[in-house]
Amino acid sequence: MSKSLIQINNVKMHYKSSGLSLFRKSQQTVKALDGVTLSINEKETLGLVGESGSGKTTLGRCVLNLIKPTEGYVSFNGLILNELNSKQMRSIRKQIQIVFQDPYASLNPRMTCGDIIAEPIIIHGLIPNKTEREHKIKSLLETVGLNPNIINRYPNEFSGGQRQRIAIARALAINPKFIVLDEPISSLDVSIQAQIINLLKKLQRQFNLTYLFIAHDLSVVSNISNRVAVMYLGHIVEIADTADLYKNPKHPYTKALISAIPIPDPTLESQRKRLILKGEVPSPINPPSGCVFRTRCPIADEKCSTTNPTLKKISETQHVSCLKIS
Amino acid sequence: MGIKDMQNTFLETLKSYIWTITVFIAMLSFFILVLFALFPTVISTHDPIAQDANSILLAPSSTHLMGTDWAGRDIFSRVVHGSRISLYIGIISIMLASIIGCITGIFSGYMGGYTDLIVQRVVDTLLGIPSIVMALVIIVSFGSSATAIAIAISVAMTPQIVRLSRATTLSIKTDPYIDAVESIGATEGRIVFNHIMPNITPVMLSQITGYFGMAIVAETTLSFLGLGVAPPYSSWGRMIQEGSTQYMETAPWTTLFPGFAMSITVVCSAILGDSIGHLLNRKHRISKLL
Repeated sequence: MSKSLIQINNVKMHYKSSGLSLFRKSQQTVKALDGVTLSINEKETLGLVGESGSGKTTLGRCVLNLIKPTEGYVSFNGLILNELNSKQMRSIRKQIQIVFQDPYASLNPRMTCGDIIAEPIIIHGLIPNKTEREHKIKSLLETVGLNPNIINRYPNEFSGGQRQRIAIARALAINPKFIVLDEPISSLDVSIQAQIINLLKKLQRQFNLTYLFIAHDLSVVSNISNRVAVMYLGHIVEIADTADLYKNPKHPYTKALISAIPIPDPTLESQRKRLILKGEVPSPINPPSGCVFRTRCPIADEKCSTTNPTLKKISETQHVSCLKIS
Repeated sequence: MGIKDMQNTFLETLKSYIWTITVFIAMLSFFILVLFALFPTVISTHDPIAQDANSILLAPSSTHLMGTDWAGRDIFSRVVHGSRISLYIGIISIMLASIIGCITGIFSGYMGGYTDLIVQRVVDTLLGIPSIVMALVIIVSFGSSATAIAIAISVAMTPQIVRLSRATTLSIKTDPYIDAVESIGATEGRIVFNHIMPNITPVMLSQITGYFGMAIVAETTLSFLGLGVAPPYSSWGRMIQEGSTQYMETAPWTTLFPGFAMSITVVCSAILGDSIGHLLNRKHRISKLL
């Protein structure tokens, strides 16, 4: 096992739900993240799955220190991000990058593609010489599989896949160690999705990158990840090596998710048994007591409503947060 | 392609042609107006303040293109000279209002939190005071020079511009590309100047051009209340006021021509404002805000 690059320690992110006011004290809090502990090893890809509202993106933003967690901390290479001042943080930002979900919104529509990719290089003052910088941008464009001559074009002239490649080129521009991929392919066509996944894999090998791959498509995650963490209502319910998680899911929520993956074989697909969960995801404003999944869990009993489960190690590679599994 | 589609395409094309022609006419009129303001002595036929007891309230003729007023002054010359004051007041007031308004609005919107809350309550208070009363106080304290009037108008317009620039900033602040540059490590100054400002410019520009017309109308309103530029120099507002209160029935040209000049300016500025917005957004195909 290689050494861990990112440590997420008991991170909680609670949003106060009522607006800012001089006279009213806010009452409700949305628990977007409620005690998440994770570690990401060097050069691995950690997949993070969960349904909408489970806190995946919030966790990604916490890792980037775009938002400060209410409790807990994220450390990068041993440095605790929340405690750094803005100047120190800026130098850390050279090593952490993000690719966003929507490539139509994550590129400034009024900047040329060359300027967008040059932005991080200029901010960190890496290549002051203009011709050298242009050379670097062109080589980055080639790396992500785009024609280097598009440097003066605006984002609206590109397709979703091409825009996502530009976003990836921007993330790569300052040679980061770690990239958060926040659902980078979910707004793309299926054929383009595969291309981007292959590109990401190639880049990981080429530049020794570490990825946090956030997604809600389990089949895509299984393709790219070394390990997968499953989130539900701000909690990690299961984390395991990809092969273990898919072959032998332990947590009832993971089981339900895995059973929802269609099999690309009509005979097998017709025999596939689906575990359908009852009900809806509870509101994060008022999550269930004890285990947050108990309201939809097929095996929950009374104990589940009183005791908070913690992540337990059940094998060398698999951790599950469930009271019914020992 | 059905007959219906062909009709639609035809109408679309026709519309865009009419729009192009409209914008062209607006630009041309604006150009003429600017010429008036820059070279009034070259263009005007008479001395705008020379009184002539022999030619009082003459109807438009070849010597007096727009007739004369109660003191025998040539209205065409006065309209030409008046354009200078109207444009001056319009330009100075929107410049002041947009510089102060945009800076405050962007700051308030970008900072958020209590800064925003406090700035917005101040703006609310300013919006609560009737702008005429506010202008009155300023003009009474600074005198009725064109600059004082421009300042009074800009004070009345600033809160609206603060509101607009704040709202636009808020909508752009949450766009992922702002997060993206933040995660790269951009300083706040860089985010505001390189990313927020260029994106709110088209919206602000088209609105502010529209406000230019409003400023000219505001000057007229103030003149009408007797708070305009001191005589004998004449702004359009004062000419309209003088004519309409006493000679509207006997000599309508005293009011109509300065009124036309003002209406044309206001309409042109609105059209140009719109077209600037369209133009800037068409280049990047952004339909989000306009």
